[in-house]
Amino acid sequence: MKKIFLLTTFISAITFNAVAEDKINTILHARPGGLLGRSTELVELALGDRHGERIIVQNCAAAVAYLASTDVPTIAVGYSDMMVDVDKNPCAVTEDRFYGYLAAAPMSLCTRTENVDKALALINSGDQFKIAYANYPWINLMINNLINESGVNALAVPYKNSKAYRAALAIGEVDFMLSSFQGDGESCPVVFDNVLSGDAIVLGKDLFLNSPTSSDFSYSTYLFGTNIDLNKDLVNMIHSSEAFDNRTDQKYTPHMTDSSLTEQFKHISQ
Amino acid sequence: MIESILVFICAALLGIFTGLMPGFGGLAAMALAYPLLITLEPHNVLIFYVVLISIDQYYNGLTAIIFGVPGASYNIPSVIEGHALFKEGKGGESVVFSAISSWICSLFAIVFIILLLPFMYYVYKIWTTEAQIVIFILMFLSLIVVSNNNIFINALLFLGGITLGLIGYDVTSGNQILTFNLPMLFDGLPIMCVVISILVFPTLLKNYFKQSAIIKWPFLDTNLYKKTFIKLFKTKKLPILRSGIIGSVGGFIPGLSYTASSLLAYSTEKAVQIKNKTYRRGNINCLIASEGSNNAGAVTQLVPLLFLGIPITASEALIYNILEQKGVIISFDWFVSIFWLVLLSFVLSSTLGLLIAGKYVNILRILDGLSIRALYTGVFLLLLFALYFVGSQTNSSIEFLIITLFLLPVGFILRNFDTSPLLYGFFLHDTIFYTVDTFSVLYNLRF
Repeated sequence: MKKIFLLTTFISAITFNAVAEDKINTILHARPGGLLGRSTELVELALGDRHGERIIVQNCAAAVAYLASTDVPTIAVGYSDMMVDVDKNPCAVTEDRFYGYLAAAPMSLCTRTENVDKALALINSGDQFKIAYANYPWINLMINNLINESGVNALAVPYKNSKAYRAALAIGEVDFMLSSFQGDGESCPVVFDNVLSGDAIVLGKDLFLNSPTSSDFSYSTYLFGTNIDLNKDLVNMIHSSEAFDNRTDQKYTPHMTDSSLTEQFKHISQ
Repeated sequence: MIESILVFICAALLGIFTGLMPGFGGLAAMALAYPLLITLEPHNVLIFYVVLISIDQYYNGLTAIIFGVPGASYNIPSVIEGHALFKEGKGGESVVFSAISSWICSLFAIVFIILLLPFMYYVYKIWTTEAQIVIFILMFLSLIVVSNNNIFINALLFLGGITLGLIGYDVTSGNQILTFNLPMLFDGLPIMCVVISILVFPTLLKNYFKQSAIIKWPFLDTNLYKKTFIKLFKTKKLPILRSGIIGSVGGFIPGLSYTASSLLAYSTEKAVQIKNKTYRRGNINCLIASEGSNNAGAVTQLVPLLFLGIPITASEALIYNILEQKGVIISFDWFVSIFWLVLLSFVLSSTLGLLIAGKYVNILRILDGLSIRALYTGVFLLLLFALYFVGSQTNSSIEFLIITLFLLPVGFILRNFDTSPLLYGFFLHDTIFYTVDTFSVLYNLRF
């Protein structure tokens, strides 16, 4: 019995070390250069020598399908939109594949710098104001939650992408745009967070009263994968890497790091 | 820089090839070059496109004049006038006149755009969702009127293209449309598979059985360059100016673009010649009007795409799609940043076209004896390889081939139709849907 116990312990130790020392592959499932492309590159740099190969697939559904079929340690970066409508969404990740939030950036209401006072006055007047947003499923859901919960007289106007809503803002078709990124000539006076940041002068929760969304509205990225027994340690390792310190997207910071993986998963898939 | 030069050379070679191959237009050439295009920087994608269409125009004119075969519908006037001149023994003269007028009109269009530049910013200022809806409606109408099928068929093809575009996972409703649970279809049908099966394959098939000849390139006397230049400036100022203006304006017409330029300038010049009682078949003024104006239109057609992100031809829609995949945000700033590069590429490619399709045209005698059928077969095999290569970039080569195989019967059924409305609808379906959606929210029309 003792022999069997020792043998089992020995085999387990070898197996664990093998897993721990295995190279980790990454999956790129979006175009290089975008937020996901940059984040995947960041993860690869943070992994350093432990990075195996990069697998490129057509889309997030293909990434999820790939993970189901591989027996090699593999990770990928996901983003908020992949976890909307989890029952039907082919990109949604199950809890056993969720390795934790990578980073998040609070959303803001932005406008042209010269229009800040006028736009804020419009919100306070009670008249209807228009918020442009990129028509992605998660943002769509959140902005409509925000307006419905708070009862603010706002109209959320969907646009194809950031180019389209920035053009609409420039010509005065809308009063604000919902974004996590502030471009040249733009100001973001309202931030949906618990603290003011950047050039924000108002917290979202002070304008959109009674809405839980108004203080917890961040676009986030997360890690998901398979065949890795590191879970949260993997995210911690990335956060403490030099690559993360030097990241392009400085507005994206570690998110819910004090919460357990289960809490994080519940949060992203709610 | 080196990449840009290589891109320039590749595009020029492909432009020569497509120009010489009857029925093989710009969009088919873009499909052939797709594996290359998806790896290029956005500005090089534009250089490629600009050089390709510019050189293609010069050579389409050549085949029309020499062989009497129109490379595209806008070359029909060149067949009528240029080939008649060729048969009279004036092949060299008509080739040189055609090349020089094309070059002058290209430069004219470039100046035309530069003069328009100060006013363009104001267009951007009124570029509202309503304005975009109006443009889309106009584009749809002109597309179904001008494409080479009857209006009903064109409208059906356009709607068919939109329907093909709907295949995939719809993020707004959470429904999957005809994905058969294949992950690679969640993003929709791959562009390359659609273009090859619906456009390129039927074109190749049709021409394979139509063109069985062997290329016989005649010797052309082109030693009249200086004389022709002087003659053009002395006696053909007005026709050149007319074609420059008509060509430049015609380039803006959605769906038609430089085809409109060519046909409008030709009709105008012919009317002038008839009025002056100087018209007879083989009229050099009509030839230079047609050839010059389509080059001018090829320059100006790019403005709506680069400036407002509105592709007005199917091949531009493909370029737009590639640029979008690369994350390019088409805005006024982007337009300004690439404007001079695009114009410079036009000047250089036009000058190259002037030389290789004019003064040094006899270099093409090396093609003597080549079988056109063999060329089409080679193109088809190359396309299959391109398809496999593009698929391999995302580990989906087999899936790409299977999807193409399933779409080929559709292409076969549509082989006798102009499928550009279908491709246009396919390329732009999401832009159209998003714009309509924005409009419906702004005007409270959503149900």
